[in-house]
Amino acid sequence: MKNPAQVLLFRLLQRVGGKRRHGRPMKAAQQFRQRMVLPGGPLLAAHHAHSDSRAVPSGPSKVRNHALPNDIQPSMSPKPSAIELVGVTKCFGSLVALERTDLVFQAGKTTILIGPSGCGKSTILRLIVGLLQPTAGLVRFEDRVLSPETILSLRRRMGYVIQEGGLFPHLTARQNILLLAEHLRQSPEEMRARLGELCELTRLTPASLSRYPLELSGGQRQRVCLIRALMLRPDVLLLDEPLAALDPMVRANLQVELKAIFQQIGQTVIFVTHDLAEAAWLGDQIVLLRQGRVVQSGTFAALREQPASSFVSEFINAQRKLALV
Amino acid sequence: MKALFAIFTGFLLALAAPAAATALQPAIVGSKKFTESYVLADIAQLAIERAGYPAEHRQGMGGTIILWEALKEGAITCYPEYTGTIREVILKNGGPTTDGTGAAEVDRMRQQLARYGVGMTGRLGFNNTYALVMRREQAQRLGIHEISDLNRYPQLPVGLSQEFLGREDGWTPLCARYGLHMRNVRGMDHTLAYEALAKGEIDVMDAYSTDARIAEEDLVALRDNRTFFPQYQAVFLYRLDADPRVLQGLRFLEGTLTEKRMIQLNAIAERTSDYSKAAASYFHEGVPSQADSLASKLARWTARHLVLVGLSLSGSIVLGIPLGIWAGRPGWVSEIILGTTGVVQTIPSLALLALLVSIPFLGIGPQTAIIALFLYGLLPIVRNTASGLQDIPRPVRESAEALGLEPLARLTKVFLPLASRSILSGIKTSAVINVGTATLAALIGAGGLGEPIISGLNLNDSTLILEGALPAASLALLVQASFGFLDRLLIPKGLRLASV
Repeated sequence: MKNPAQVLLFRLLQRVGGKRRHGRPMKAAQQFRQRMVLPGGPLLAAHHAHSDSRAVPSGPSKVRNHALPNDIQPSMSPKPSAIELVGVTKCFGSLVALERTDLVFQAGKTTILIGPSGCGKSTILRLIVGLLQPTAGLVRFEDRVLSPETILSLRRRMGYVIQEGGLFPHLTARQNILLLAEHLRQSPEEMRARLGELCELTRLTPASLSRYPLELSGGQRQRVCLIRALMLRPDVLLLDEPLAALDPMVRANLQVELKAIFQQIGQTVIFVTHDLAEAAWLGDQIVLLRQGRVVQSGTFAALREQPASSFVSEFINAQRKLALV
Repeated sequence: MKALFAIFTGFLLALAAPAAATALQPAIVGSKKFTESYVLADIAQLAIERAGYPAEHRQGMGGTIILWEALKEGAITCYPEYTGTIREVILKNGGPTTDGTGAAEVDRMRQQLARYGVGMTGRLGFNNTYALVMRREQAQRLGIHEISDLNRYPQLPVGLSQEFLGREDGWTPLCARYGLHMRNVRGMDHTLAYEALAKGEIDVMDAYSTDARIAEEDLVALRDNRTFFPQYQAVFLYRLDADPRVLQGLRFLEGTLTEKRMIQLNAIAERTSDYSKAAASYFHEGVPSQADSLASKLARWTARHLVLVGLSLSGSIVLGIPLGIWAGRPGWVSEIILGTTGVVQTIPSLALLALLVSIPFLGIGPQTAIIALFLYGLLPIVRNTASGLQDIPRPVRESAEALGLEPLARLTKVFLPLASRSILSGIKTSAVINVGTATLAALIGAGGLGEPIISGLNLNDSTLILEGALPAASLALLVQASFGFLDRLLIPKGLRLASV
């Protein structure tokens, strides 16, 4: 805790904790510290409503969860499930993008959605943020169901980052970041403080803030997107292949940074990627999808050691071979 | 059966209406019984004919009341009149006053006249007020320079026209204002009075300030030192249901006749006893150039042109952008909006003007022209707004939505700024089109730079055409250029980077 950035983040976390859990700041910080120490237990329970019995239930991992302070101090525990998909089907015309899927994303964990193109991983994110409405089933955010009436207020509790082009080209980086905060009439002091924290967190040079998106590098743009998503202290961070458009060097650096950021903020993160190494590096929990269905979910180790099907081994081996070349 | 009859009658009427319209009834120009009125009526006849409509001059029908009644009943189509007479005799608006030329007053007069189905053109350019005249030699000898000087000579014989004797702004109130007590006052025919004055049978008479004889017979007009006589600006009164070409012909005369010019024309008419010669000389001498300097005319036309374009363009913008936003969403509403505005665009501008003129409440005048221009300006703005919004990349669109902005905030803070380049270019297109199309507004009496163009076409005078066409073209270029400046002002900097 001697590193000034860490101290700052510590304070930031105090504030996040205080706001969200109505607990005393110190306790939230303790919780944070404990969580930092503890290995990320798989908090995710996912199973397919379909007859696909190969999906590995996450039962054993739940047992490990008992070690978490959440359960030790029930009065302060975060809501067990941040986001839940209940029997969600999404069709685009005759194409079924997602088929009767039940998924539970538990709070405070980084969950990776992975799979080949068209497996439905981005669709899940877009359903959560309300860009798509399910053809059947429902999406629940904590205890509220997403609907046209609730979506606006729920969106403001989510941060959404996409692969590329999500920044508004007519606004500077700073204006992009502050757009919603200003729209919601946050005080300038509060905004300035938060922006400073986030620049430090994402290691964005303050000079970049006055540039327009076109004047920024790809990596800087994604940092700005991340800051914009985190600006209002969202409860959930949704990232849709945020690093896919970057060149490998920048990408590798950002992967390292993202991991640190996720650990520091301790928030629920749902991260879509098609890169297994990235998934293994960042994820507490990995959900492998194929053709609109969940094939297997668990830690990377579980997927590698106990593949639920030949597809899982194929998928893992395909990428590993690539790494060996 | 009744329905069948109704349909049949309607069918007949539908057939008859165009037939009646095509058999052109010539416009009847009336005139009062004095030279200037004759000359003006003759000029009007020629102007209407040049505007492409047959006209007849019914000469010397009598005084104001007869002509007014004839006009109201439709026996004549138009006649020359003076604002003072209209106010005092026809509309009976209060007592004598020298005002009567203010814009508000003119508007009020137009409204009052409209109740009788009568319209009034703008001023022809000269003020033919009443004056008391004497022989110059006698006036100098007696030291009479102003009307009030007459008080010293109450015995001077005065010969007055019947009309002047009876008018509310005539003799009796004049005497009251100046405290005159002339003992020897006779009513007599106006032309005879001049002869009587020349012979010395009378020493004072009423006259019109543009009478040719004032110059010819060396008379002097006594100064109206208490500004009793109201303004007698020459105008034409016309029936509002007259053919547009009649009005076009009459409006052509507006502002083209100074006092000096009118006196000259009156003199030609009196000298040659041929009014048509005076009228012909009016057209002969390269019409309005003497009346009004080219600069002031250009300023007037351009100002009117800008008003037409400005008002119609503002309307197009105010309605076009919301329509474009609506049309920017997918669905059948978009098709309908773009389709309708597209169809309007395909109507030839002349046909659109003609269509609008036939709508009751619109008729001839700037309001109709503005509506036509407004309709023309709509499509480019609607289409560009819609396409500007549709062209916003999906990631940006979805980011704005996912961020948690309300639909209205998304539109104003993100989508409209992003579409600003496209919207502005639509407005620019509309503006340039409108500057050009507005020249046609002169056809329905809305004025503008089309006025000299259309007059020039009628008169086969290419100089006159250029007087309108060149400024109109420069105006279009100016509009085009000024949008470069607006682009820099209104398009966000972050977007302009993209084009560098």
